[in-house]
Amino acid sequence: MTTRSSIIRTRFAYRFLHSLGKLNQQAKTNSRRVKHAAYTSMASAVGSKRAWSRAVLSKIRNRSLNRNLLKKKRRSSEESRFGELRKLVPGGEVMNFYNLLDETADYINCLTSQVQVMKNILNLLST
Amino acid sequence: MSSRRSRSSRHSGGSRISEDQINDLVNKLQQLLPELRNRSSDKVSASRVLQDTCNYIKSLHREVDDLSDRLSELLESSDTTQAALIRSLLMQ
Repeated sequence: MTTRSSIIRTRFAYRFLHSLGKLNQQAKTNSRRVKHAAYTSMASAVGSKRAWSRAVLSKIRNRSLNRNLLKKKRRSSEESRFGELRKLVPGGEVMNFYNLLDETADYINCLTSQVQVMKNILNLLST
Repeated sequence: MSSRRSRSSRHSGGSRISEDQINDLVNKLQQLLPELRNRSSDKVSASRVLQDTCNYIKSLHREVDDLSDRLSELLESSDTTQAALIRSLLMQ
């Protein structure tokens, strides 16, 4: 678990720095682009093994297709009870409850790594 | 008993998932939450864990927002030194 998360951290840091480097070459860098780069870099670091990261990556590739998929599957009885969590975890609206909890745990781990690495990069660049 | 276990497949959407499996995951989630991590699991309700999970994810999202703001400001104001630093980080 610790080795996996450190691999993810390294992969994320590499991808995110690469994106930042690209953004830096462009004329305008805004916060929305940096944020987008951060979430995309994390999903790409995790790869296609996880449903939430697949959801993030496919959302980027095809937004309209994803929206249709959501409409079709949105009829679970648990939906209203766990609606908030479903909206917070990427792809959560189409998961069964067990997978939602499982993906949530992984998503939280990755988000904490993401925040930590972003903080480290910020500190490094501010000094 | 074994037949019951085999029925509760974790992958297919329609199959039954046992309460134990759900409880295990709720406990796992609880361990990830800074505020509930040190509490004994039988003292915290599942709905409390789920509510705190939502709050925690939202606070992490806010942190990413804030860090993105600060990073973009930094890049915006960056001179060649910082661009060079990013490049040097990528070379490793």
